[in-house]
Amino acid sequence: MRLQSYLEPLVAAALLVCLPWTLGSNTLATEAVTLALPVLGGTLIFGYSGLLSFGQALFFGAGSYVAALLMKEAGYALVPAVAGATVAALAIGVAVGAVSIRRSGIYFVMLTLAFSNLGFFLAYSASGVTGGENGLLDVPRRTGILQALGVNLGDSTVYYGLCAALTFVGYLVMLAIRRSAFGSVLRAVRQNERRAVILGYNARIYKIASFAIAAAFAGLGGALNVGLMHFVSLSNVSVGMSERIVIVTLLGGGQSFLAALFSASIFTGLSDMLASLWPRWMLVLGLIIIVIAFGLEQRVGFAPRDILRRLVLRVKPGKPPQSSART
Amino acid sequence: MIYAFQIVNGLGLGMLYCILALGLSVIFGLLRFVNFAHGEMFALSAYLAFVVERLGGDFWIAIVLVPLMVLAFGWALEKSLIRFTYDRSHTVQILVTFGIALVIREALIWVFGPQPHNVSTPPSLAGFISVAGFTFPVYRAFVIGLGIMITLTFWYVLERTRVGAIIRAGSERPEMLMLLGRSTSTVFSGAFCTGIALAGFAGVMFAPLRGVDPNIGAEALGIAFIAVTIGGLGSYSGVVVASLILGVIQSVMSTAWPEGASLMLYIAMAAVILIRPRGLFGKAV
Amino acid sequence: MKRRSFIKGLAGTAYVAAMPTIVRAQSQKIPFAHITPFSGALAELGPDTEIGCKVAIEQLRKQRNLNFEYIRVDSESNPSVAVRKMQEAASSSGARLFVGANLSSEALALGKEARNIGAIYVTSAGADEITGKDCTKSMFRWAVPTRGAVDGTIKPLMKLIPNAKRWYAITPKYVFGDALLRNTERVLKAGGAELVGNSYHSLTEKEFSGYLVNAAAANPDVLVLHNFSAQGAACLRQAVSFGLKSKMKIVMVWSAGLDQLLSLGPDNLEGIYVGAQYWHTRDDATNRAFVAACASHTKAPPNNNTAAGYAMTMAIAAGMTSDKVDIPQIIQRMEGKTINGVTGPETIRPFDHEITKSYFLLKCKPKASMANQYDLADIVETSSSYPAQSESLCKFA
Repeated sequence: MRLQSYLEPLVAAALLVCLPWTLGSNTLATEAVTLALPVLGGTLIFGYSGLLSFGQALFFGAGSYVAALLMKEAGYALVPAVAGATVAALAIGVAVGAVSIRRSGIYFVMLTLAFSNLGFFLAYSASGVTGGENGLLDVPRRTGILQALGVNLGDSTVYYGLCAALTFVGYLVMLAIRRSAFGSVLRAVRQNERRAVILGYNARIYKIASFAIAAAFAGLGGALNVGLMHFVSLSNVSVGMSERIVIVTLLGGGQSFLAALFSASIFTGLSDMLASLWPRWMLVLGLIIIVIAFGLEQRVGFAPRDILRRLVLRVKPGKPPQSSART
Repeated sequence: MIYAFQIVNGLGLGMLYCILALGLSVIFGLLRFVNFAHGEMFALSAYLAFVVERLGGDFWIAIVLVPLMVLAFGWALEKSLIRFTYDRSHTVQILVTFGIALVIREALIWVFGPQPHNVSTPPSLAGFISVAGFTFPVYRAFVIGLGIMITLTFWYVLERTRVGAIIRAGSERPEMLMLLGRSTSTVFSGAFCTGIALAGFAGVMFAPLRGVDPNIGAEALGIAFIAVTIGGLGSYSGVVVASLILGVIQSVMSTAWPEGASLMLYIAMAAVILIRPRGLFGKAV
Repeated sequence: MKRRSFIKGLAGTAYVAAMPTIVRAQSQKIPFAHITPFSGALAELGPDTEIGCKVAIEQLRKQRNLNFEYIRVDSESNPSVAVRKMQEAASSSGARLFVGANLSSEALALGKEARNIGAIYVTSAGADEITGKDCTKSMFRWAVPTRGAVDGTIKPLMKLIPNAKRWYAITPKYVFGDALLRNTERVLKAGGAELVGNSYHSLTEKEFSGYLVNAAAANPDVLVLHNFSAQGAACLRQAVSFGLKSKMKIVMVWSAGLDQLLSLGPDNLEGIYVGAQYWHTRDDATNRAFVAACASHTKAPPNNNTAAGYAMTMAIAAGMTSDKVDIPQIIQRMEGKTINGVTGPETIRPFDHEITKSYFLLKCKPKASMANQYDLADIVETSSSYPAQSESLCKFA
C-alpha cells in the first residue's frame, strides 16, 4: 500500500519528464500540460462531485485574458501574472459555482453552458480590451526576477520545465485532496447527497469549493497557454474549448488523476498526428466517446467488454426510468 | 409599426423552432432521455433533402421521404445503442448522444464536403405576400402553416387519442405503463422515433430557408435546448409557448440590440432554470 | 512502470538523434509549409488553396528549377493550433517559408510568430490590421483590404446606377465588419449618396429575417451586405426569399468568390452584384495558363482560394534566386517586386508588405445565359485601391 502511494507520483513525474521526447516537440508537450491542468480540475468535479461542466472554457479563457493583460498592459512578469490569473479564475469559479450547483443533472449542464456563452460574449464584445475576434496579440513572456537565478523563460525547454513543474504540483494537490477529509466528503456527497447532509455536512459548500478549485486549475492552464502562444485567441473561451476539456476528462475515465495526465498527453499527441493524416479524425473520436460513456459508472470494468456482455446476455433494456429520483 | 412586424416575423421564426423543439421535448418527456444528437438528426435531414433535390426529386418528395428515412435511421440507432442508456444517468446519455452527434457531423462533412450547399425553394411556393408595404415570403408562410398543422396534429394525438393517453401516462408515471402491461420498450422506441421524425420534418423545411452546411446541427440543438428548458422539460404546451417567445425575442432584438440577440436567449434560459427550474409550464413532480 | 517510461524516453532520444539526418537528406529541397484550415469551421479553405500552391510549385520546378517541398499543415480553424503548428513545422521540418489562407485571427497571430522564429509568412486574410497596426516584417498579404473592397464595389456601382441615393447596410458587429462599414460611409458621402441605415448583427447570427425586415422598412435603393462567408450566403439567400431583389439592388462587398456563388445557385444570384478577390474568366495569358494548369487537379475552375495559394507561393519565389533560404535576404528581394499575376500586375509594397492587386466587381447572370455551371457572373469593373503610405499604420518594429 505504502509503495503504491509513492509509485503513482513517480509515474506522473516520469511522464512529465519524458513528454517532450515522446511527443517530439517542446511546444506540443507544453500544450499537453496546459490542457492537463483543466482536465485535472474536470476530473475532480466530474469524478468526485459528479458535476459535468460544459463551461470550463470560461475559466480557461478568463485565466488567459487576465494573465495576458497583466503581462501586456501592467508589465508583470510571467510568474506573478499566472498567479494573478489563477486567483481570478478561482474567484469567478466561486461565483459561478455558487449559482450553478443549485441545480443538478441536465440543468447544471445547461447553466454552465449559459455562463460560458456569457463569457464568450463579453470577450468578443469588449474588443477594446480583449482584441475581440482578432485576439489579444503581442503578449510578452517576461522572466522577471527569476532572471537573477539564470533562468530564461524565453527558451522553450525552460518554459516547458516551468509548466510541467506547475502541473506536477497541481497533480500533487489533487492527490492531497483525494486523500483528505475534504475528498472523502466529496465522494460521500456524490454517492448520496441526502445522507451526507443528514450527517451534518454542508453539501453545497463542498460542491462549490470543488467547482472553484477546478476553475482555478483551468485558469492556470489558460494562463500558461498564453505564455506558450504569446497571444490569446477568442477560441480559448469558446464552447469548442469546453468540449475538448470534457472529452479529455472522459477519455481519462474521470476517476484517476494520473489517468487525466496521460489522457491529456495522449489526446494532444494523437490529435496532432491524426489531424495531419485524416481531417475527419473526430469521427473516430466520436465513436470512442460512445464506448467510454457506456463504461462509465459501471462497476464491472472495461467498457467494450461490458457492451459485449450486454449484447450476449441480452440484458433486458427499457427498465422504466425513475423520473422522480433523477432530474 | 416596425416592432409590430418584427413580432409577426418572430412568431413565424418561433413556429420553426417549435417543430424542432417538440421533437426534443417528446423524447425527454417520455424517456427522461437527453438527446444531444437531436441537432445532427435535423442536419442529416436537411442534407437528405439536398440529396433528393440533386437526384432530381422535388421538395414534395423530400418532405414525405426524408422524415421516413431518418425515422428508420433513428429506429436503428434506438435499437442498437440508445435503449441501453435509458436506465443510466443523464451524464451517460449526454455523452453517448454527444458522441453520436460528433460521428454524424463528421460523416456529413466527409460525404458532402465542408462547404455549404443550396437547396432551392419549391417553385410553387416561390412568391411573396405583401402587406402594408412589408413583404413576406410565401415559403416562410407555408412553413409556418405546416408548423401549426404539425403542432395541432401532435396536440390532438396527445390529448384526444389512446396513444396520446399512453404517452402522457408514461411521461408522468413511467412505472404505470409496466403495471398496465404495456410493452415499455415499444412505447419508448415509438416515442424516440416520433421525436426523430419531427427533427426530420424540421430539417426538410429549414433547408430551402438556410441551405445546408455542417454547422446547422449545432445551432439547431442550441435553440431547441433553450426552448425546451424555458418551456419546461417534457411540457409540450410549454415548448410551443417558449419557442414562440424565443422567436419574438430574437426578432425584436434585431431591431433593439442586435449584438446581444443570442446572449439574451442564454440569459433567459439561465434565469428560468434558476427561478423556475421546472420551466414556465412544467409541472412540479 | 518505470521501465516503460524509460523505454519511451529512449525511443524519444533515438527519434531526436535521427532528426538531423532526415533534414540533411532533404537539403536539396526547400521545405515550404502551407498552413490553412483543413478541418474545423473553415475546413473548405484548405483543399482549394492547396491546389493553387501545388500548381505554383510545379511551375517553379519546371521554369526556375526551385524545388519546393510541400508540407501541409492543418490549422484546424483555431489560431492557437495554427501558432503551435508553425512552431513545430519550423523545428521539426526546418520550414521557414509559410503561406496560408487563414482566418484573420489566425493570420495576425501567425504574422507575429513568423517574426519570432525568423520566417516568412504570406497570407490572404482580410483584416486591415495585417498590414496596419499589427504588421510585421515577416508577414505579407495578398488580398485587397476593406478599403479596396469597398472602393472596388460601391464606387463603380454608384456610377452604374447614378439614381441610387439611399443605401442600407447589414454589418457583422466586430472589427472587420466595422472597417467595411466605415469605408462604405466614406465612399457614399464622397459620392453624394446617403447611408439611410445599418443593422449590426452578431458573429454567430444565421437568421437574418429580422434585419431584412428593418432594411425593407427603410426602403433603400441599394442593400449593402458587409457580412461574408457562410453568414454572407445565409443573409443573401434570405434577402432574396424576402423579395428584396425586386425592390432594390443588392451588393455583397466581400464575397468568397466562386465556391460561395456555386453554393447559392443562379436562381438566388441573378442580378446581384458581388465583390471578389479573383474571378476565373479574367482574360490574359497568365490567368489562362493558371486555369489550364488547375484543370489537371480538379474539374472546377480555380476560385479565390486556389488563386491565393498560387499567388502567395509565387510571391515568396519572387524573392528567391537560389535554393538558399536566407530569410532577411528573401524579404529584401521581395520588397518592391512586381509579379505578373493571375489578377494582373501585383506589386509587393516595401513599407507595409501589401501585395497590391486588382479587385473585381461581378454581376451575376441569369441561368439562361450561363455557358456552363461555373459561368455565374461577368466582371463589370476591375480596380485597385490601397491606403497610401502616409495613411499607413504599419511600422515595422
